[in-house]
Amino acid sequence: MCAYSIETDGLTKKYGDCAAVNNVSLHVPGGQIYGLLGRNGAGKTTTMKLLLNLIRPTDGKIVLLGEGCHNRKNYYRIGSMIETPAFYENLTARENLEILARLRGRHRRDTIAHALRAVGLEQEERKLFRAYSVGMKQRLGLAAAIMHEPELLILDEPMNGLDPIGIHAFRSYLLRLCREKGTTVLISSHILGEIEQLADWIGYMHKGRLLEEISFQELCRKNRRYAAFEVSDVKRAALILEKQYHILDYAVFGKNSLRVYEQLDQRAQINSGFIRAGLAVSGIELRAGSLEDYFIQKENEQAQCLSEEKM
Amino acid sequence: MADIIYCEWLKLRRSKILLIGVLGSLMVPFLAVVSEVRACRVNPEASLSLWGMYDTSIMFIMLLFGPLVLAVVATWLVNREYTERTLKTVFTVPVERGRFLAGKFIILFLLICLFMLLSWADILAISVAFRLFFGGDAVSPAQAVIILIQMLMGGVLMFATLTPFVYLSLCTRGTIAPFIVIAAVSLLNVVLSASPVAAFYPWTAAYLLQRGRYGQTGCPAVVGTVLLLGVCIAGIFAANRRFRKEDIV
Repeated sequence: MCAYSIETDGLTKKYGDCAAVNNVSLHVPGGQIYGLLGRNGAGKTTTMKLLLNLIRPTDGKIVLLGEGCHNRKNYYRIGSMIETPAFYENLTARENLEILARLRGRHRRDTIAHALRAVGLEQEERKLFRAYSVGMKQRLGLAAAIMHEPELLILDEPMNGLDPIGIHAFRSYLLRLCREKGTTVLISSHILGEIEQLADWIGYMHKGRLLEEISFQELCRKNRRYAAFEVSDVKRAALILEKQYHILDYAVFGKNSLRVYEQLDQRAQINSGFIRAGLAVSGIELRAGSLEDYFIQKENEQAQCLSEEKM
Repeated sequence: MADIIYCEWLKLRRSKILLIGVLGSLMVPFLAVVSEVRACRVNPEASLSLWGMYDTSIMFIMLLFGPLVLAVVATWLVNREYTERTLKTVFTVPVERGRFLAGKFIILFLLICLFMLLSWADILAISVAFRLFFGGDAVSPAQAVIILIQMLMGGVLMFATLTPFVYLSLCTRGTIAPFIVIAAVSLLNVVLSASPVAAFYPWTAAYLLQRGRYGQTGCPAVVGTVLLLGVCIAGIFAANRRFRKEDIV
């Protein structure tokens, strides 16, 4: 198995002078859930459409499941749902899935029934698609995406329109697929709360650019409560933390900043320890970052970079 | 390819367009009956025959029904994929775009044949009914078979003139522009059908070729055949070229 199920290099899509996707290098590890986050219009859907060969890139390279995107057969191993699910209005759920199964040409006999059962639509399979509610349409879209048991799932805002029970069931299903069958999932959303309960990795897009790719573990680590120390010598401060207080969970930022993530109630004693060791402590503060704050900060950083570039 | 055609057929289930086509196919012979009965009233020596019915029906079919209803069917077959936004669902299966479009052309051809078959059955049924109730010329099986073959040939010629509408639908992704063009084509059909330029207007040329009257315009039939072949190939080629490089947004 290759390290990445999805890998892009400098992926760009321009409409005239406007870059909907700008130099995106995405790395989605195999067998994990990757959440693609960003505001509306950030370029998430365009990126997914590029991956699925629905639109042609202006520039850049795409590798899916170890092969280039020009290998059409590779797409049999991929399931997807882009934006709102689209099916033939005059057909039933079963007929719509039958069309997809026929076009795919390879499926077990019980595939359709199994997919409908998985999304809880087995009682509604004879209802016309046009008579479906938004949530039911969404569930049928999911059934179409998973019916051939793909190795890679690409889902664009799949929980839109689902009720809370439906969201919970869908989340559990995705986690089970990923953990038990090793399916890789790329899922996009503009709602952070949806993604943080699922994703192993997060990619954050803003104005067509991928600002950051980060493991969820690392993201949480960056955003949990910590005591921030401003000290004159971080190397000696780190040594004190380890030797005197047996603290290993800390991070050094630059020459003078130190973040301590454990034993926060001991911060006054740690401060005393630093001073006793002859270090000058110019600041100590208890902080907690939220994921929203983290990404807003990233957006601001990028805006600053762009304005500096222009100047 | 068989699966693609089956799926195209399945997509027509419960669709109103199929009903419109079927009703249109069955209505045309009734229009021919009205026309024939009127002719019989003007000329009491004339009688309603299978050939007479066929002659009038095929004129209505190829000059009016074909360009109007069948062009609408052709436009709808393509256009629904855009209005229902189903291309993104189908292409991610994946389905090769050229094969998908070929499926559209084949189902259009099959529908034209089906409508022709229905019109033929209708003409035959009306002729037999007239013979039973009002007397007149006998309907022979040989005649019926010849008419069926000729009507299917007419279907092939009509298909050749409809491929540009598929291209037009792909370009406009809507129905209004194609419908305006369809109306204009049908009107011109009526205007040009008796004029010398009819030989060079593909939609009337198809009718003249089908009736074996192309030579009467002063041009050899091969000109008409080449003209229709050119229109057909140009329509398919342009549609394929357009469809292959299109972004599905």
